[in-house]
Amino acid sequence: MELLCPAGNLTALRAAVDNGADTVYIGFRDSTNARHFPGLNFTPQQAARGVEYAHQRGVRVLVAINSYVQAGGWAQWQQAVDEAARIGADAVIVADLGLLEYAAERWPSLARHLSVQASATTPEALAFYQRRYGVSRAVLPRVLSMAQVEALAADTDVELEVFGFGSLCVMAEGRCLLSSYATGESPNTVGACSPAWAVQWQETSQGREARLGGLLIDRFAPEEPAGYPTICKGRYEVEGEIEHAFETPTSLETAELLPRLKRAGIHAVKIEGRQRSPAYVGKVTSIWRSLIDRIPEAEGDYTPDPAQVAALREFSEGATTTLGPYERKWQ
Amino acid sequence: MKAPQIEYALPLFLTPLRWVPGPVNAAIVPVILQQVLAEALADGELDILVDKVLALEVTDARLHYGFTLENGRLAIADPKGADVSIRGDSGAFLALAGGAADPDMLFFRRRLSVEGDVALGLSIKNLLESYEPRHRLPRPLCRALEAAAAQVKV
Repeated sequence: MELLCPAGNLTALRAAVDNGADTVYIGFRDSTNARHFPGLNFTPQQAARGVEYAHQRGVRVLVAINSYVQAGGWAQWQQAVDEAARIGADAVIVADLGLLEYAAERWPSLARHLSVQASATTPEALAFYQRRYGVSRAVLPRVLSMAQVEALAADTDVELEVFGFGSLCVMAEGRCLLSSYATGESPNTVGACSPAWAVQWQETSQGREARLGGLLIDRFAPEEPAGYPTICKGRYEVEGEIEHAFETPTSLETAELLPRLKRAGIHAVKIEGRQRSPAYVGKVTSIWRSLIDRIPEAEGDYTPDPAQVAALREFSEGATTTLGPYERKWQ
Repeated sequence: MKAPQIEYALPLFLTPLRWVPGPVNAAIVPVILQQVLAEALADGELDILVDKVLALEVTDARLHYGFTLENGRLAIADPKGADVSIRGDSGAFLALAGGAADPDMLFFRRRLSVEGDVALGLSIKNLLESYEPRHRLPRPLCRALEAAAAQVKV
């Protein structure tokens, strides 16, 4: 199985390459990707240097151009695809249909991966993307149970990539507008959920207050672990109780599923976190390299090395982890 | 040095810096920063600090500095009324400077806090991660910093 690791800058890219990533995925410094934060991501020149560093070491580089093209913004998204082709990226990760078509026609030899933002979950949808736009791989949205992932893998010849580790979202991928409610912006439009300009933290006598677009969305008691403020992970008063009304902040951690994912024929496991530091990328990459290299061939109970799982948990938002939708009985 | 001890010792080492006279700080600190951030300065990445003040507060050592960019050079500024304030204990700052800790994790664990202009704070975080100023220090000093940072329990 291929290990795909995130990088928000050259230092993180080198950390991923040096610690055993098979592939690194990056984004340009604008709203054409879903991690558009100030000071993060690559200029075309930096991306070219990253591709050179990775290719010299046998590691591939993918460019995420996975936000949706906005009205009047075609030139910007088109340029991102052109830049990805020019710097020698190995594939682009795209969700927008118009952009997929453009990439397929203008740069036919540049592989096209279907972004998680496109939310394709059926063999028919995957076959369409493959036939119409020559999509070779799809990233599955984090809504499917393990049994559904297995069934889908058995029914498609498009390569499948799944998320293995990192922050989770409310899992309405490609369709979530919660952030727009407070900020007027969402990942699909400007490439960021809870854009930094709309975030406000205040340390008060009651604890850390987090506001988004002026709305109080959480208050953390002095010793309580805190996360990045998103509407879906906030706490609200519902029928007199203050609670996580949408979802509890937690991180996906699927080490124990690795043998099943491998048997199902899943081609690649993706680590979330282009917005995280080189320290995170380096350590998480090295742990996942070792987990993937040690997947047992035999069926039966599998328990990943507890020390490695504990080390992964250290990096989690909320410091708790879950199998997320993979183990969910309901949909 | 045993793991936890550095965290107790560090504020004691750093606290005397409080009594360094302002003009001395104003003369020395920018020279060091100019050196370790030369590449970022040359790339214009620190232009985000033009007319803006970043405050760093080391809570346990009671140190409080402000930084700004003046005529293309980093300068000390009054931390009061800073545009963004990053506050943390000395262990957290050491772990960051030595590249041993993930700033998000320190923030989630409440070892760091950010108040004010979050976009500016995030830009600075991202630029420090991208340029890794410790590598501009003389090599033995960088190694020593990394070794000390690795001792911090986060």
